[in-house]
Amino acid sequence: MTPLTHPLTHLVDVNNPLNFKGYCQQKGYAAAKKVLFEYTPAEALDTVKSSGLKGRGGAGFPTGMKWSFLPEFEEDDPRAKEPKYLICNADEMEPGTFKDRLLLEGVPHQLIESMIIAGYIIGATRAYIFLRGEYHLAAKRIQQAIDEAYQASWLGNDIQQSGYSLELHLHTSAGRYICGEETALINALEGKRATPRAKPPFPQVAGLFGKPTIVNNVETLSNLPHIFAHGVEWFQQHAPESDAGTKIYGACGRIKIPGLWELPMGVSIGRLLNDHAGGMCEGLALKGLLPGGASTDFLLPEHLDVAMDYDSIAKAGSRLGTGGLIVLDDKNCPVAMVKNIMQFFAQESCGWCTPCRDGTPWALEILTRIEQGKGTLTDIDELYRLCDFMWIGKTHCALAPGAVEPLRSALNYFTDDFIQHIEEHCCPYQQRGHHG
Amino acid sequence: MDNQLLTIYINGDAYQVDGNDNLLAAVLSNKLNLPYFCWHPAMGSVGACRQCAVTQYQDEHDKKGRIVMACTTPVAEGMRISINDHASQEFREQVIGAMMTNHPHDCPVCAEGGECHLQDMTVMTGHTSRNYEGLKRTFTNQDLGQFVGHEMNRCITCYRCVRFYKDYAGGEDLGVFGSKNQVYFGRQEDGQLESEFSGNLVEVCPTGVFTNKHFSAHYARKWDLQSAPSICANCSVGCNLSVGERYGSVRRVMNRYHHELNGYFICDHGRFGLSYVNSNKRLTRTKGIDHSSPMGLKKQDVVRALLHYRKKQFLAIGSGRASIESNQLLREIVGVRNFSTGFSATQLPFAKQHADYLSRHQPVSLAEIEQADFVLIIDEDITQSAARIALSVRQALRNKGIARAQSMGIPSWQDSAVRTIAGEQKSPLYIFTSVATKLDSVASARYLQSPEETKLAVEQLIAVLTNKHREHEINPNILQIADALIQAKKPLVISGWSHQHHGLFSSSIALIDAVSACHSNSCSLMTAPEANTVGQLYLTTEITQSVEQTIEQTITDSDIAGLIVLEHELPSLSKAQIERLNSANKLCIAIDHSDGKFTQAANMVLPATPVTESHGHFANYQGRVQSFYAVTPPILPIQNAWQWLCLLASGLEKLSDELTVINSFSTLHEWFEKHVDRWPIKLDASDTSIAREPHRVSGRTAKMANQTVHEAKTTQSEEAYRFSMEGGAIDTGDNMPYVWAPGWNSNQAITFYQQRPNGPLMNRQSAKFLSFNEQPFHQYQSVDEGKPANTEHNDVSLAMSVPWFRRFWLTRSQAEFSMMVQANVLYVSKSYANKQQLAVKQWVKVSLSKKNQSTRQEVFAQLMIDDDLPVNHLYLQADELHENHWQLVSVTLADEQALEQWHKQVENRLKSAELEQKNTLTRLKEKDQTIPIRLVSGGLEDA
Repeated sequence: MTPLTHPLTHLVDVNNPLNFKGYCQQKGYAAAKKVLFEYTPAEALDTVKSSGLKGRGGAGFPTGMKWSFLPEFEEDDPRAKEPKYLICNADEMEPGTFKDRLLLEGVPHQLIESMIIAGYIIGATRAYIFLRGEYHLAAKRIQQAIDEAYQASWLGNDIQQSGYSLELHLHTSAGRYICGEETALINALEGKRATPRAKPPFPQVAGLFGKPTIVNNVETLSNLPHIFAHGVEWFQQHAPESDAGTKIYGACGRIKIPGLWELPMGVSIGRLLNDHAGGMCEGLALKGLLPGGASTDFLLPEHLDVAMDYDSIAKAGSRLGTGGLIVLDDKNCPVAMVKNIMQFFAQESCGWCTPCRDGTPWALEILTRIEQGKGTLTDIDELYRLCDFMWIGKTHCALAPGAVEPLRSALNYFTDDFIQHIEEHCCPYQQRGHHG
Repeated sequence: MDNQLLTIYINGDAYQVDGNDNLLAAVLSNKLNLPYFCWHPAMGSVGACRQCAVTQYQDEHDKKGRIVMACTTPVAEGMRISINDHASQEFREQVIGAMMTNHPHDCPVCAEGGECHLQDMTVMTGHTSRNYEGLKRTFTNQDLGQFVGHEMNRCITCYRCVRFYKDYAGGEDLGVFGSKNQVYFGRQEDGQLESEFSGNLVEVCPTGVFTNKHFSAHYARKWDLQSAPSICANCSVGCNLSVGERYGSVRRVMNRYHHELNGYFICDHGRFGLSYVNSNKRLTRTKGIDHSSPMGLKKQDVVRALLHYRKKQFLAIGSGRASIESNQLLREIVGVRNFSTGFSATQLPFAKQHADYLSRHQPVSLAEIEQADFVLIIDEDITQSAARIALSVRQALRNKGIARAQSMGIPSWQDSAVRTIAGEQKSPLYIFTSVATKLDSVASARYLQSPEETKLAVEQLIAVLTNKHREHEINPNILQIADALIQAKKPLVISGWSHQHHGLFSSSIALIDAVSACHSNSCSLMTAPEANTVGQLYLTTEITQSVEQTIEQTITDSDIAGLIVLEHELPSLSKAQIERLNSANKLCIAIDHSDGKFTQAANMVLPATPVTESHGHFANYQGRVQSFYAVTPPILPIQNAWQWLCLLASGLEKLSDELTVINSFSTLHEWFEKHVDRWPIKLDASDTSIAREPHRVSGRTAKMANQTVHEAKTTQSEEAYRFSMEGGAIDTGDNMPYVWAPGWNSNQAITFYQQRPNGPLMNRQSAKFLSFNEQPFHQYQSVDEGKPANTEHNDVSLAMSVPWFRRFWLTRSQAEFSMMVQANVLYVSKSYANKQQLAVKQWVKVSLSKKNQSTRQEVFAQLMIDDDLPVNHLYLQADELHENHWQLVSVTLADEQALEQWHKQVENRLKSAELEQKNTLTRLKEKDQTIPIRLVSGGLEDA
């Protein structure tokens, strides 16, 4: 592992992460220094834009473009003096996804350095890390790193006498999946209910406390020091044309080596599954997989050659999402899996809009019945109807459509399994003695 | 923004819509049906319920379109949408279906049944069968206090309740709990809802989660109610009400839309404060008149009773509770010189100056308040004295945020977006006050101090505004206020009478004069104590005497035969005065609807109608003349006060004979027009008759079947409104008895009678205002503020904090308000407490005296520190005290025995109130079964 091949993870040590001194010895904070002293914010923004960095939180939106939506005011406009905020979204709660945890626990100073760079570029004076509440170890290590950075004048007033000041706070979430949605996160940070906001206004214009705000994922931000350390060309060479940089991929399920790997963007699903994750466990065959967390469509064994980048996965009918594979084998019941996923989304619905609030539990109720062998064939029609009911444009945010993706693709790909449950009045997988 | 008319295509047809609207408002403006829940015309759009989905097409070739939420989509020229396409219809039906997965379908036992928005919308979407087979969610309900019932299982989670209660009305004790499909709307724990606007939850909730407890206790369906347009008689705002009645008892009060005044919301005083009309303190019999016939009262009986008093001189006291007509007629009977407008000696100087203020300024309407971008409140706790105004002030504070949102292209109806953008930013509100008020927490600055201090501050502000100051003399806070005022586009100054400090009242008016001189777009308002106080100001002249003077003259002046008191409780009347009146052999005539101090003392009592049984006019704080109609005809011998006065005039042989034959409201008005100078009211001639009862009224003919099988004759009244279901359309603009439109049984039907949602009614009449001439009172002396001599507290001022439910004797004497416990608390500064060696939470005895009088009063209160108080000012909140005219004598540690005794008294009061409430309900329910047939006949001559 070298800084050039594994920029994000080469310094990761989950047992004994680098402290401030150790991180500096590994050229830590060098990129931040470079940016603060050698770049104007506008120049640095151009670099990020030309790097082609896309958000790693799931949506894949170009980071530089997101930042350029911040409003610019004339100097005499009173709004020019109002604060701007930077928020790191570390509320990693997507089922099957644990990539940010690696960075948070394994190399906390890298995130702080990244936030100094991002804060400088966007002109933020205050930044927050919104951390998943259950990440206790990460909370401890991040707080320690923040304290060290303050002591070393890498946070606070006039950082390294560059003239730039940044206050950084760690906020541990009270624990809702919906806080991963950036405007729900902002509401939670303000002490309000974690309900996604109406958009427009987008957070870049009116975010935290009504002020311009940028929210970025941990992994997205962590790319910044390396882009500035090694250059845009280096960054782009890792990936096919439409993407750039490396990506932390993950895999879980009944595979030989579940885990995380930083790989060039665009590795094929097959290589990830077989070369890195060691393939399926003995006696099991691949039945399907969710390529980027629970809220993505199923892909099938026929998709093993598809590259794990945003466009290729989309072409195959799913989403790259977080890049964390959830693997379904042939001895696990897909209906039970979908039911389990639906239970999660019904539980995590914020309760704001009707299709999500009342649609997800309704779908769960039907799936539970089918899984118990009490379903009817009209239930399948009802599930399709509910999938339409909760689809994009009909809901307030993306949570319910995310819940629909695994359900609808399962209905399409695993129709026989659903029908078997109904016709045999029981779960065929349990019948065969497999784990349901 | 300008009102720009655009053309959009709905279902292929072209419609004109307002360019500033969202699609839902535009559709409803064109009187098309589109179901919705979370949107509210006054509260805007948030896109939560997804019920108003329509299909929007790119252009005329787009056949597929996409689903959009009408409430969050701005209209655009040439826009094409469909309401009746399959996709959007199916989706809307699914939304209802999803909501119904948890709704209990308990419509038969629901107080909302038959006027339920959820029922209406369900029918509208065509959702007719249920597919959901799972269990329903259940919740535990809460006891939300005296007014609002709670049945959470019915909730469809539209969030309107909290959006109204917290976001719109600034309430703090109702919230959202839980998530997913277990969202709970309620309080942290059981308890009385604290907001003065809690009753609006009943109307804001689209189904039966929040219900009117009074109505539910004695329930009737909407279609069984007889309703009439009324005006709230509990404060000077004059909110428009729709009052519902059945079997002779008033069942409930609902908001009646008025786009310049109350809009969609009224306060709890208006909604729940009418229970006195059903009380057993109502006067139902005459006193001092022998009835010649057991069947009832005859005109000759009155004439005979007054035989000795023919042509004799009487003094009279009118009141701000009585109608313009009754007061005017009383004044005509006794003559201007002998007529007191009902103001006490303390109030009279206020009245005269207030009339003077009204001659120079037109007070703003509530709708105009909401346009203001700077508000200054001078020592008037409007949340308690004229609550609806406070609600409008809260909306005005949003203007800064709305302007910011508009600068980003976000229209004001995008409620959640606007609130996101606004953040904590508010338009400036400055408050000078002698008691803590609920608006303090949203003020830019609040100065808690004595009225005397405030007077000095106001004078400084005048000096700054009129450029008569030298910079160094002025408090920087005042300069800041002046700056904000000058920079505002529409500054507003609010004050009123509650502080009872005459000097401050004068300087407040001087300030309003100064502001209007230096800011052309400024506005102001003065609240007044009672519903028709401004009508009384109109009758007040230079020679008008105070109540005290009138009583005293009645006693001492041998030329005066007696005193006629019209709907005035005479709080200042002492026992000694009563005795003197009796021994001087004066005839005291009380005309009132409820038993009080004076009706007990009077030799002749004439039972009058309360507002719910009367026809008349009130003038609100603006001088706006509004009419109210009887919701139920009075049962003889109860009559309208003006009918009694006609009888008195004839018995006393006063005025012309013409008057003695007046038997209708319109002939009374004809008489006024002929005989009264500047008679301000012109009745609208109406040819159409209007039914007070909905056409679907059930059991119309069976209503009295337990007594007779014959159908009773309906009461004939000469006004447009019929005490029956006979009559034409209910669309009478300003005076709709109730609201209903095909498919819309709830109050949301109002949309179909408005020019556009939140806009004026289509058939509204033009507003009428009293016009005040410049008053010659400029030079009258400032009254002595009356510091009592020889008290150790000469230098300490005391103000009373009086909640709305203690302000009026009619309200506070009712059981349900008696049961609302208000802790007795004395708020002092820390240094005062130290000086007096008192500690927080200690019980103290507060001794008080009345200005200029020897009356003493002692109350027990718990001591609390308010850090914002100056050392020389205190304020007291005490259940026993309702007015602001007390001076502090001493504060001492309470004697334990006396305290215990007082606690017991309070406990007993609660117990007896509870019993009284129960008894009243039983009595009313019994009355339903034994309603006298004669109720349905009308007029004195019938008897």
